[in-house]
Amino acid sequence: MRPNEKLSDSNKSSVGNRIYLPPEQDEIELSLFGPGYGESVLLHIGANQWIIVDSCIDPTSESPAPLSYLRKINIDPSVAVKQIIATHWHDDHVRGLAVILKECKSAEFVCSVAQTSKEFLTLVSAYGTRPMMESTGINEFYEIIKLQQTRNVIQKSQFIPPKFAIADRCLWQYEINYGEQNIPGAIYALSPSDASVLIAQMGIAKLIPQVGETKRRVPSLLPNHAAVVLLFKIGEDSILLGSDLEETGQAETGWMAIISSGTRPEGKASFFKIPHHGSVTAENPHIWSLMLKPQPISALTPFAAGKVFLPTNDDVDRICNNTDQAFSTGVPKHPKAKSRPKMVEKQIKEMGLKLRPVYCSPGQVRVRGRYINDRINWIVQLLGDAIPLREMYN
Amino acid sequence: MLILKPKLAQYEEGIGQDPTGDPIKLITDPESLLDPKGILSCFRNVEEESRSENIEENIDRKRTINLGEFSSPVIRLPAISRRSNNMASLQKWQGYVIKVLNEALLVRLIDLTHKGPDEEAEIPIEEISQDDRGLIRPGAIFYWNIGYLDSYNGQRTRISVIRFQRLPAWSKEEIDAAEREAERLQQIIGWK
Repeated sequence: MRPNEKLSDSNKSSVGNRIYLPPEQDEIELSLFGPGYGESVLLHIGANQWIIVDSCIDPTSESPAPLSYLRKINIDPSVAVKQIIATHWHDDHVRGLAVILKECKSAEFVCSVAQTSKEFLTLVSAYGTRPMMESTGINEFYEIIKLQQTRNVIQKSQFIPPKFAIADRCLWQYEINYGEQNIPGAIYALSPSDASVLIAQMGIAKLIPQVGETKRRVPSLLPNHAAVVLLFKIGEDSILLGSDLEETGQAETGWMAIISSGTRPEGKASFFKIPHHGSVTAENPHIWSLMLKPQPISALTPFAAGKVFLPTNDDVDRICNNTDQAFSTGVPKHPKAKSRPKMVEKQIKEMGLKLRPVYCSPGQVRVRGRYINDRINWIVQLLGDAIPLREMYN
Repeated sequence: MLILKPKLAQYEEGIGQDPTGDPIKLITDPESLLDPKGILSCFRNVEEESRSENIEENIDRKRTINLGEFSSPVIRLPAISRRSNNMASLQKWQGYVIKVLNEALLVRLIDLTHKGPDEEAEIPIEEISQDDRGLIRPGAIFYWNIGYLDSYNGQRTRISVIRFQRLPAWSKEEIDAAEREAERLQQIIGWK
């Protein structure tokens, strides 16, 4: 298969199950899934060791996309997944994460340090025990905590303590045999900064219900200061996952805090998961100049809600000016409206309303490569609705 | 005053005719006069009477009351209809308010009738009843129902009903319990 080849349905059938063959032991793979309900990254660091970052539910199968994919390539998630990382607790990043953790029995759970505070746990205890709405990020965390608690108390021997992520913390160090050489690898959290954690905790504290306040669905904490940006180091190369971290314009928080950190691990990444669906709110030009190699392979998931579509045409231009190798898991559009009984359609129309489905089947940007001469030689494959970014508005 | 129209009178043929020729007959059980609802409670809707198939069975010919110059059987009318409006639902959603806009609500909808992806819509505030408008704010949960309303008189109307959930307020006990549970979780999670 040629680099950056788009797999059409006919390609898929002609190569048989080739696209669903697992990577070789010495092959690194990264898959970005979206925009189902959320976005998720699945990473093979080598030697059948996998890491899942966030969750993405396929609305058709209603199961987490990374788990479905692992099964398709005959990988047992209960053994192969070693770490599950929740970058932040927004509904569209954690929905299905409890199911993932339940299935991946060998995995360590990692989340932002802001989610370990008493304020956050109070919020989880208050809302999680009284679900007023299905599928909120808080309910998902409540399920995760209950699962961890059960494993800690009942299945003590199998219990893997969770870990929290904060700027410049090494989350995992390993050594993998890539071909004839043993290459050191490590996973670092580059955020949240101390200041971001404090701001996030204050925001979370404000969401804790007050006596006499009417119950409601817990609102999201915006803007998102406490998201976990991750750097996967593989020898001299690395992968940068931008999560949903936004730029705040202040040195102590957001992207600027990462860029100005004196303790950030060195090295420039050859792959970049573009933050916050390519939005200008997460843009900082220093990311491209200081943290990424020239022409990095970059990928994003699109976003469509209400009248907001990301990335915009301007966002696409800006990103494509930084790299020729940018990809998207799909196009930001509302999927086709659901079909309903005629009388229901008529009533909706008479009310002057238009119902827009929020999520469609996720596409997948998959990159695979071997570590040769101090860098990973990536090959890009676009599955489902994934496209080169420059084709988004053409 | 509800009246019994000639349709009913035809069942009284042979028992006596109103000498005035007026089709209106006031025929009642004296006990009903003690009814706090008054004599009206003895009468049924004219349309209901016309549909009654067994009205003859309701005529008690042994008990009569003299209403002037003629005797008439006491008619024990069936209890007042308890029939009420029924709604046949075609589509139901649970929703919550994402954002309150100038004249509309941006909402997320979860289909409770058929599975499928969540949906979003902008619902004009004028679609929300005056009673519920005080409940509008981000995070507020509501139910939206589209269906047919079958009224007691047989009319069928297509309707849309949006009702905001009236959840109780948070109590001090609930918040104290959440804080205690948070402390317990911090101990038991087993952070490294």
